[in-house]
Amino acid sequence: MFMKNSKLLSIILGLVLLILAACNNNESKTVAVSSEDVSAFPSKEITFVVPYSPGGGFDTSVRLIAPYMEKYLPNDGTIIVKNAPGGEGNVGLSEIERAKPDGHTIGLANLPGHYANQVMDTAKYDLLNMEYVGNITTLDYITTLSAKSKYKTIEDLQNADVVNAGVVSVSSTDGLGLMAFAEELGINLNIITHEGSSEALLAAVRGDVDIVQFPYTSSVDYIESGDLVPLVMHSKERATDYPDIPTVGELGYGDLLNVTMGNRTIIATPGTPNEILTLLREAFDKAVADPDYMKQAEEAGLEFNSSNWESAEKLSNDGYNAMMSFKDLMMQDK
Amino acid sequence: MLDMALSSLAEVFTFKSLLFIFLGALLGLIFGILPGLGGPQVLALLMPLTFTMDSGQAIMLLISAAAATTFGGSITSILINTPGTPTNAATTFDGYQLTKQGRPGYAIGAAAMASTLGGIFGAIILTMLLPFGKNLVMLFSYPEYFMMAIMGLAMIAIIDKEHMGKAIIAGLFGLMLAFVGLDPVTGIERYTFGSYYLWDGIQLVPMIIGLFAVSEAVALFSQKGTIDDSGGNVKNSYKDVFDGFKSIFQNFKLFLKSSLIGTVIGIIPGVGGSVANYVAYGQAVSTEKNPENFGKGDIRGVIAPESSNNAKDGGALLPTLTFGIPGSLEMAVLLGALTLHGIQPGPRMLLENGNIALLLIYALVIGTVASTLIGVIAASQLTKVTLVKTTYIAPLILVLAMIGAYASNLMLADVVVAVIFGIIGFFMVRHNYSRIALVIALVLGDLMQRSFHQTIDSVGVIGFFTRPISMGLFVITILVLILPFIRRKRGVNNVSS
Amino acid sequence: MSVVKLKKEEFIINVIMILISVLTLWMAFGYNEKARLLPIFVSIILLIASIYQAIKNIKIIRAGIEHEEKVESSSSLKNIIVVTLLLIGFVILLYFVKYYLASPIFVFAFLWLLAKEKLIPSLITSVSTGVGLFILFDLILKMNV
Repeated sequence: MFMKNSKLLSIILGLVLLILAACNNNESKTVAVSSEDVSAFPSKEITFVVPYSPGGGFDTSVRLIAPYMEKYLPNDGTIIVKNAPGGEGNVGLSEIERAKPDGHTIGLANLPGHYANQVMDTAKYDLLNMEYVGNITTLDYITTLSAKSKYKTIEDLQNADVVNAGVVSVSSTDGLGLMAFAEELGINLNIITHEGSSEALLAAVRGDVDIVQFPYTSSVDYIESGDLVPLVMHSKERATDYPDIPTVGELGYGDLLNVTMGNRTIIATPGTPNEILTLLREAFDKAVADPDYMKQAEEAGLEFNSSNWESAEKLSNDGYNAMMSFKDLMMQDK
Repeated sequence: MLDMALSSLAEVFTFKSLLFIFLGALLGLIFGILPGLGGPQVLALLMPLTFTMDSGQAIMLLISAAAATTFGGSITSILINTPGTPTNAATTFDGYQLTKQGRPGYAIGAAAMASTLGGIFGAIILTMLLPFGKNLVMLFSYPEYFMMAIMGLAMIAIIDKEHMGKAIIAGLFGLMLAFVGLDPVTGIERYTFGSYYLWDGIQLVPMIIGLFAVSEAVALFSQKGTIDDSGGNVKNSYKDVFDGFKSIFQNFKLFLKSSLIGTVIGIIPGVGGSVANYVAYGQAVSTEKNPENFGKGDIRGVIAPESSNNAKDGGALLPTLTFGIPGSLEMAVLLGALTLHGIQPGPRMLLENGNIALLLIYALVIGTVASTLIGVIAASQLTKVTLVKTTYIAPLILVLAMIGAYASNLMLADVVVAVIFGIIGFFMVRHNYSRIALVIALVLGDLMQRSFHQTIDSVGVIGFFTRPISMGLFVITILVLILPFIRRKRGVNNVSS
Repeated sequence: MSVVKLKKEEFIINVIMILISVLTLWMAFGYNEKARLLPIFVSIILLIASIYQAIKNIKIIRAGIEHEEKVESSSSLKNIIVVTLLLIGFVILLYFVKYYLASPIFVFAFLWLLAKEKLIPSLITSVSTGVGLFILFDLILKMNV
């Protein structure tokens, strides 16, 4: 018996030595990319990393566009979607950042939402370094009031002692956006967090909270049914179906847009060669212009307010700067 | 409405549709059996494949797969004391004992019939309630969620009467574990010790795998021999299974109670379906005759959880369809799939796409039936597992369990969690600290703290006491807790007089 | 195994729980008002319950009383330790090689070294495990594990 145990032990020791040896080789994944043969790209399947669980709005957006991008990639390129939720984006985004910069890993970022981690110094990634492929869509948010709330106008809100606000969390896009909005307008918020956007919207419908701020596409059904009352549109132009709602710019707070919007941006690993980025960007541009894609996106109720990589990059930087200006607000409880 | 019901029915009974339902059931069954994989995983896998399919058929495929996982999971719970999915944890108590007594077929038969009828029950209730869906879901607010969490947590005290104090300690430990991660209210890190992985807290699936699969494998290995203790006299499978079928009708009231519990829990958004099976088991223990037989191979201990965990699927569709709020994890993925196919659950959907809701319900029922049919046939072969030497079973369970833990998110950290809880589970079993109590507390801890703060922050402490439903739930909880003690006292009096 | 020896082991676990609850209590005070509320509450109850359980066990150990409690037959500590080591090895293996290679190695190590089964059946089981898993996950389920 003693013999068997020491045999076991030696095997385990051997493994440990193996690890120590291999450890050195395993860490750095940023190998210098020698001249990648551009004409062979993609030479294997491309992984599209989504830092969210399957089934949510972001995941759905990606799954919608991936097949269309596939269509416009050279060499019968294929894209597989990989969910990497966790750590408020840290898991997925750091995976994208540390992948081999050969164009076979791309991913989705929520901008400026994912900057929250960077502003609060809890990020394992840096979105300012990433390469930008394109913006699937810009989500316009809308501030709405519960139909059951006693507050009806912005003035009511400003005069109130405290207003119950429904958010997902204090660092989510809707949460930050609402807090920034309230800060600028001098509204006193009492933040109530929820598991997800659907739960927060439900709370507003029930009347448990007075005010919420979610994407127009998520809110419009409740506005139609009369459960939510629209207050302010966070977009450049008024909503076509509700032309009476003022935009945040018209109220004089246009700068807020950089913080209150949600962009679903496709990014690539830093250091990906320009020729390959061009192929990806072109595939993206063609995909979003594809009439079948647009039709499917419309039926799915997803916006297709896309923009190319240059504006995506600009939106990203503006978002970061805007968010940094609210750093104190975000760091309140930390 | 009636012609819509009939035309949807016609759409379901086409060859192609039935084929997809069958396929979904088969896949769901396989995923349910594999520890660590379940509804969310099979749906995530199928979602991209359904992209090019007709939406009606895609949906039937998906819902049938989701429904099938709960029965698949019960097979693993019964045969190797390892919950195939979190919703089957309570089935291990009596199901596994029956296997050891050489009657796995009996347990599987009961689970099969309970699952089928439970699923149908849930679907019927769902159909009746769908028109009122919105109002119903709106009745539940923060205090009600909190009371549901407390009701579930109270089950911990009943779940192991012999070792109640230890179960409570296990539950408290589970609650502490629920606090690990980012605080849902203020977003600060609690007990994460600098790890980003822990921001999301202790993951349920790896923990269950560790607590049950790993510790079970070790126990099996130490035990030598085979799982089956009755000396290889595994009773004739089909007759046993048939007896299992019959047992539901012999305990019909229990079945109804458990299915009702499952449906209601499914309807309440946020509670999460995995609670249904513990609460059903708990109420069975506290209200049925001869409660001391539970945990020793009492078939009622299989009927209660298995009826409720299928009934919950019907219930969970209610908030999913009316508000787009997933009533359970699988529903969340289903929602994404529906959106991809141009169906947006919510206020508008029932008006414009009402037939989709009916398709879903039909597919749910047929899928459940299909999965139990396939499952029962497969099970008769699977029960042979109990006759294999444990030294061979143990490493296989371990491998499947570890890979199950890894496969969900491809994070080795999940496997590490599984190993750690494997060690913890081993000691818990050794010293009679209920593992289920730990699981219940972890699952409900999040809901409890969130709804607690939500109530306090929005209306204040008074909120718990001023609403009829939440007070009603509170009273039920107290009753369920006290009832066993009262009955015991009465029992003593009867004996002495 | 003797009940007293078992209770001694449990006592150690109780002490660990006490230490853990003290730690969580202490750490909770470092959090903000809302975040600390429930952890403090639960830590205190856990502390009290663990102390109570520990005292109960001390009494049993001191008196050496024979209790009615049944003991899990032959789940010896040695087993859990060895299995844990093997599992750790498996996890490490998974980091470097694919699952259908790591699994047969693990199964083989378990069967031949720990369970001391015969060589040939061990090999056959291990290899078929690897093959079976590959068929299941890669071919049938098409999951990228």
